[in-house]
Amino acid sequence: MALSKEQIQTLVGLIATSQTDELSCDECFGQIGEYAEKALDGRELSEGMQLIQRHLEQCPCCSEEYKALLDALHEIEV
Amino acid sequence: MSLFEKDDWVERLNSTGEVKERAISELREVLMSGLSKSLRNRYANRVQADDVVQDALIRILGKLDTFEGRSKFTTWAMTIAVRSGMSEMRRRHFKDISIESLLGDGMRFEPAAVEASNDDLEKSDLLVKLRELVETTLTDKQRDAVHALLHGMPVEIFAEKTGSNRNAVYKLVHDARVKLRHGFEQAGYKAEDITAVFA
Ligand SMILES: [Zn+2]
Repeated sequence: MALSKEQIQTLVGLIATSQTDELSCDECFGQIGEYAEKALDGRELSEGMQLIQRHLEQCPCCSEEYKALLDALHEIEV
Repeated sequence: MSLFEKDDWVERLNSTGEVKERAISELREVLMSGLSKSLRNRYANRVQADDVVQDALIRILGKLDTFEGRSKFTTWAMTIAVRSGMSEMRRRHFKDISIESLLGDGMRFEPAAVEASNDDLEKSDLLVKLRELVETTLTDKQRDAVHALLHGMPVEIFAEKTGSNRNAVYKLVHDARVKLRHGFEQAGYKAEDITAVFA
């Protein structure tokens, strides 16, 4: 199946932002709760947390789960 | 987070009798409330929150001793429940979608996509380079994984369908991206140039 322009654009973006030291999905998952709380509180991210941010930018799976987690946490915060 | 919260939940869930039952029931309520909101409108509501919560509670109780208190207990529990719910929804959504049907005759770059950018010589050069790098530097497996991902198949599902695991597939795609990036760099393109051209 041929790639659409949007898919090519996505691919190029993913390539350009690739780093050699990325977290795995499980490493990201292990810290995602802490990351989400910091994000909800508007707290600054430590260096380790920035690796999570980068993983979320590269990994649609983890990013989708993160968004769902934020929705859930918003709901129970009240 | 307060230490009290960590101690309280874990201690109560680890206890017995009525205390434990009440803690489970409270946790179920918390998870239900979060999941009903967060699973809605994702993957066409393919799962019921209460099924997910039941499954998640078993997982959470089974790994209580791995809770380190780096976040609130309820946040930690919610991450497990959300991941479990999303996994189940993806599994159902992609149940009848094979990798082959997504990939068709392999990753191709439609000539039109290149021609359409003829007005922009730089873009056209980059696309030619990209196609060449994809064809010459990636393994078949890497090409398939990248291609499936671009067509919306989550790494988790690709892993399940190929008998692999999520971390391994992420790594496979990661290595492919890094190879392509190096290929571009060797050809004299910096990351900023590439993104700027396609922005
Ligand atoms: Zn991931």
